[in-house]
Amino acid sequence: MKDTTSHVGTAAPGCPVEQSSTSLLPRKPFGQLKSCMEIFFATLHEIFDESAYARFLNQKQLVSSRAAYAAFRQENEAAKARRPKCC
Amino acid sequence: MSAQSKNFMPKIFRILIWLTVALLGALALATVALHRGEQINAMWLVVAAVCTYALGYRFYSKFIAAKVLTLDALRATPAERMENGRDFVPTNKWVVFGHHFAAIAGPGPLVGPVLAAQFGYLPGTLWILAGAVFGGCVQDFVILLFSVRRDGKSLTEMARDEIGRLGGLVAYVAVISIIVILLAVCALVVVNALKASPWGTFTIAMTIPIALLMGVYLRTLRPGKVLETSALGFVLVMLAIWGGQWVSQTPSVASWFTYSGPALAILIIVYGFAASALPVWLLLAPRDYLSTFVKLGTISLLALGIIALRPTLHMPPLTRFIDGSGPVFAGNVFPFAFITIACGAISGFHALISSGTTPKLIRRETEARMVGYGAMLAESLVAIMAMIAACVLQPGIYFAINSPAGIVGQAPEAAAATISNWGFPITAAEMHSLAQSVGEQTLYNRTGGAPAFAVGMAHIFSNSLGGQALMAIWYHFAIMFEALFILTVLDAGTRVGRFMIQDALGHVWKPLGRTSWYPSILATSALIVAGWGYFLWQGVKDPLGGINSLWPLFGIANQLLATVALCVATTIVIKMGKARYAAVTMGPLMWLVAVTFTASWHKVFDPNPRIGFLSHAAQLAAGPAANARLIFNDRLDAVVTCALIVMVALILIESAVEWLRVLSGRKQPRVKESPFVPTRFAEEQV
Repeated sequence: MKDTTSHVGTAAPGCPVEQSSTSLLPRKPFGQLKSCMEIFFATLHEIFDESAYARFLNQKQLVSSRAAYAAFRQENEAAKARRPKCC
Repeated sequence: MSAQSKNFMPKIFRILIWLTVALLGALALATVALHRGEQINAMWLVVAAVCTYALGYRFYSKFIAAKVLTLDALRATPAERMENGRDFVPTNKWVVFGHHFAAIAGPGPLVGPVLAAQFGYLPGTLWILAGAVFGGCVQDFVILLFSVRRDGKSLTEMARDEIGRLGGLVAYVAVISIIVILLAVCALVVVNALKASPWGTFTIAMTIPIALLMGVYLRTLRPGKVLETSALGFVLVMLAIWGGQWVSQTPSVASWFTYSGPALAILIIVYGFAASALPVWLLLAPRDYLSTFVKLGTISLLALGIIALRPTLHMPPLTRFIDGSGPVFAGNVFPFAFITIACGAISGFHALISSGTTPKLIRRETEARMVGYGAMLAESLVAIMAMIAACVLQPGIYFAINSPAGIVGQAPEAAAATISNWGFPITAAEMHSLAQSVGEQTLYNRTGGAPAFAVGMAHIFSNSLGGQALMAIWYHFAIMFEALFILTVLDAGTRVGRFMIQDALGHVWKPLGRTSWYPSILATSALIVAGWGYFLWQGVKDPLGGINSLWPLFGIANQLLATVALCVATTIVIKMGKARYAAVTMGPLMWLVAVTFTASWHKVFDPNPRIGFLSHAAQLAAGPAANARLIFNDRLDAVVTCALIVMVALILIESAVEWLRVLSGRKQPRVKESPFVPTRFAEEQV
C-alpha cells in the first residue's frame, strides 16, 4: 500500500501532519532543492487527486485496484462535480 | 523567510533590499507610464509587476493580516478540527497555494487583457497591477480567512449569515447569472477561434475521444495514476495538433472539420448537454486533469518565453480608442477597461473558490495570507503575460484579428485600408502571409481575443524555440490550450449550474433535487444549457461579433459577484470591531460599484448604438429591414443588465443598513465564527 504520509501535506486521518520542511534551514547540500522538489511533486499529487486517492486507500485499509478506484471516484464524484472552475 | 534566517539578516540590510525593490518598481512603472512615441521592452512590464507584487505582498497584505484580520497562529482551522481525510485535510501551504492557483486560473486573465489592449498597454496594465494589489488579492485573502473561521462555509452561506436572507438570495442569483453568462462568453470565444479552421477544430474534436480514453485508462488499466494518464493525454493531444496540419492540408478531410460559427455553436451546445449528463469519471474528470496539466505547463512556458525573448511592445501605451470608438468593443476607457479585465485584477468568481475547497485545506490561519493574497498575485502575473502577448503584435495585425466584419468589412483589402486609416498600417498581403504562416486561411475578424493571444504566444514561442518553421504548430498549440481550458470551464460550469438548479428545485419538489435521478439530470441540464446556449446563439448571430455585447455583460456579472463578496467582507470587518480598517474592503467595493453602475448605465442607455442596447434596438427598428430577433436580443440584454444592477443595489442597501445598525450601537456586533480551539500545530514556525 502506498505510504500516504510520505507526501508533504498529505496526512492520513488521525496521523500528525509532518512539520513543513520548507520552514527549516537545509542541513545538507541540495537539501533546499530536494525539499522544493518534494513540495512540487506533492502539489502535483494534490492537484491531480493522487493524494486524495492515497488517503482514501489508507483510510479504508485498501490496496489500489479497479474496485478501490471506482469506490474512490464514487465517493468523490459529487464533490468533484460541484467544484466550479474559475473563469 | 524563516525566523532563523531573519535573525541573521541585519535590519538595515532588509530595509535596503526593500528600498531597492521600491525604486526599481517606481522606475519600471514610470517607464511604462511615461514613455511616448518610442516602443518599450516587455521586461519593463514584468519588472513593474514583480516589484509591485513584492511590495504589495510584503507590506499591504502583512498590514491586513496583522491589523484587520489579526490572523491567529494558535487557532485551529477547520482542516484540523474537522479532518476527515476527504474534504478537510491539513495540507502544506505550498501545496494549497498550487491547488488554489490551479483552481482560480482560467481563461479570463488570458482573454480580458487581450481585448483591453485596444486602449493600448497602459490602462490595462495599471488596472491589473492596482486592481490585484488593492482589490482582487484582498478579496480572495479576506474571503478565504472568513471562510476558514466559519468551518469552510460558502460565500452564499456567509452572505445569508452575516448580511441577511436577501444577501444570501442575491449571492445565489448572482452565482447562477454569472455562470450562465460566463459559459456563453467562453463558448463564443471558442466558436470564434475555431470557425473556418479545420486544424483547430480537428485538434479540439480529438480532445474529446482523448479524454474518454483517459477516463477508461484511469478506471480500468492504471487506477489512480492521474499524473501518468494526464502525461499520456498530453502526448496524444500533441499528436492531434501535428495531425491537424495534415487535416488542414488535405481538402477532402479538411471539409469534415470546417464549420461556420452557427454550426460550431450548435455542436458546443450539444457537447455541453452531453458533458453535463455523462458520468463525471468518463469525460469531466479526465478533461479537467488534462486541461490543468496543459495549463500549468503552458503558463510556465510562456513566462520562460517572455524572459528569454524579452520582446518589444509594438502597441502604443494609449490608442485613439480610449475615447470609446474601439473596434474590439465600444466604450470609453472608464469604465470599460475595468469591466473587460476582471480576472487578473479582481474577479468575483474567485470568492467561490476561496470559500470552496481551499479553506478546507488550510493548516494554519497564518497561511491564508500566502494562499489567498499570493495566488491572486500569480494570476495577475498571468494577465500581464497575456497583455504582453497581445502587445508584441503589430497594432495593425492586432486590430485586423480582433475587429468584427461589421466594423472593418469582409474583404481583406477593405479591412486593411480601414485599419490603416486608423493609424495602424497593415496590408492585405501581410495578413495573408501571417495566416499562411500559422496554417489558417484567414485571420480577419477572429474576434474574442483567443486567436490574437494565440498569434502573440506563437510569436514569442517560435522566436524563443524552433523559429518561424514552428509558428503554425505553436499557434495551434495555443488555440488548443485556450479551447481546452474553456471547454473544461464549460463542462464544470454547466454541471455546477445544474446542481444549483437541482438544489433550488428540490425545495419545490423533492425528486427534482435528487442529483442521481435521471429525469431531473436531463431537465436541469437542458435548462442550464438553454440559458447559456441562448446567449451564445445571440453572440454568433450578432453582426458586431457578439463580444461587443456579451463580454461587458460578463464583466458586469463577475464584478457583481465581487461586490457581493466585498459587502460580506466589509460587514464582517465592521462586526469584528475593526470599522477603522473597513476601507481595506470598502475601497475596492466603492470602486467596483462606481464601475459597474457606470458601465451598466452606458450599456443600457448610451445613445451610441454601438454601446447602448436600447439605442441599438431603436436603430434596428428604424432601419429598412428590422430584424425582430436582434431587437429582442438587445432588449433582453438591457433587462439582464438592469436585473444585475438591481441586485447590486439590493445587497448594498442591505449591507449598509447592517453597517449603520452596528456602528450606531443599535445592534450588537456579533460575527458568526466557529469557537476558538487551540491548534496542535502551534509549535511549528510560521
